Amino acid sequence: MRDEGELIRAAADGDVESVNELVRRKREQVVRIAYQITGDWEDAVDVSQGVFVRLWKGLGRYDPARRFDTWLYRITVNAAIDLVRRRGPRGSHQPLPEGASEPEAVSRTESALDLAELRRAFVALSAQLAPKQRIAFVLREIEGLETAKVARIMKVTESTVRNHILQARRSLRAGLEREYPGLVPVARRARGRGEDVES
Amino acid sequence: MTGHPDLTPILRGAELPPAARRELLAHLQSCPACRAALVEDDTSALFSLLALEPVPDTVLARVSRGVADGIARESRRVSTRRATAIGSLAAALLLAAVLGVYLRSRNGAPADPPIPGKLVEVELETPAGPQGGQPAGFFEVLDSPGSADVVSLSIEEVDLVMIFDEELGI
Repeated sequence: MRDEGELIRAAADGDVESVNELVRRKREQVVRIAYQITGDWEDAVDVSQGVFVRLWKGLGRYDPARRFDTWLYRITVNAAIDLVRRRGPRGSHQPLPEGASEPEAVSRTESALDLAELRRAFVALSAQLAPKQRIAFVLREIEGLETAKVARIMKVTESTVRNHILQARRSLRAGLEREYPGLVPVARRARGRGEDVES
Repeated sequence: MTGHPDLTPILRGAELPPAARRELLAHLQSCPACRAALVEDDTSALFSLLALEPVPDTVLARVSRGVADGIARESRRVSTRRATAIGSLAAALLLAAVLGVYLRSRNGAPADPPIPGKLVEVELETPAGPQGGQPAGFFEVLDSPGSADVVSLSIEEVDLVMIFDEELGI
């Protein structure tokens, strides 16, 4: 497997195969970040394609002293947020795939978590977050990037990242418990109502 | 609890290696008891499970195709602009040479001298044929101090200002 630095240099020199290989290596993470922020696969595809074309155009100016991933993810995050701003927030009720139906409230918490429903909840609730809170939460809490890396991508301090996440959690927690109680484990719901529950 | 992983790292917000994190999240998705422990203090921690959503192969393939198409389009656009700019410059230089001859020959000739400030349309013959109907550009005599003529020549994106001086031979 070629060294990434060598790949980037070759791509900057116009080697098509190197550009293609760079896209193959990075596309999944770029698409994931774009999807987590926009909440839609089509939007994620549009954002990702634009990001890589922009990256290709800027490779000639890329400074090897800079971290490539930080640069790439920053472009991705900004492009995704720009699209969300232009498009406006998505409605809280996204159409279900054909043939699907809303699961029972009780059974959801007693079995595997329905990721599709969790996704719908996140799309609706994260639309109420400030962009920087949404970005910080997506990168750190969902994508699992290190706080230091998130800080570099967002060009803020680590303490600012932690503060954004704290605010995001507060808002998401309140929205989840208020609007999607079926997703919340029974014991937590009962504790929230002040009931005595055996742990 | 037997058969359950240690949730401490994720509960404390520790930064786990990607593979370990995915394994932990996969367990959380299927285990209600561990999920309850995860959200004991913060229900928003549930959203970390969204990391388990796979990216469809079709999406990845579309991204690669779209990027290849986008780069090909950009490359063609840059080549076209460059060719247009070079063509315009070549045409402008050719016209400048012709104009230089014209301005020198008018000295002493009975032909009307160009009027400063008056725009004159020019047509060009190009390899593709004469560009009739639409002017290819304009030249304008800006000033005529003494034996010199200061001329502005505009063809498409190229603007030139030239000085012709018969006494100096330029």
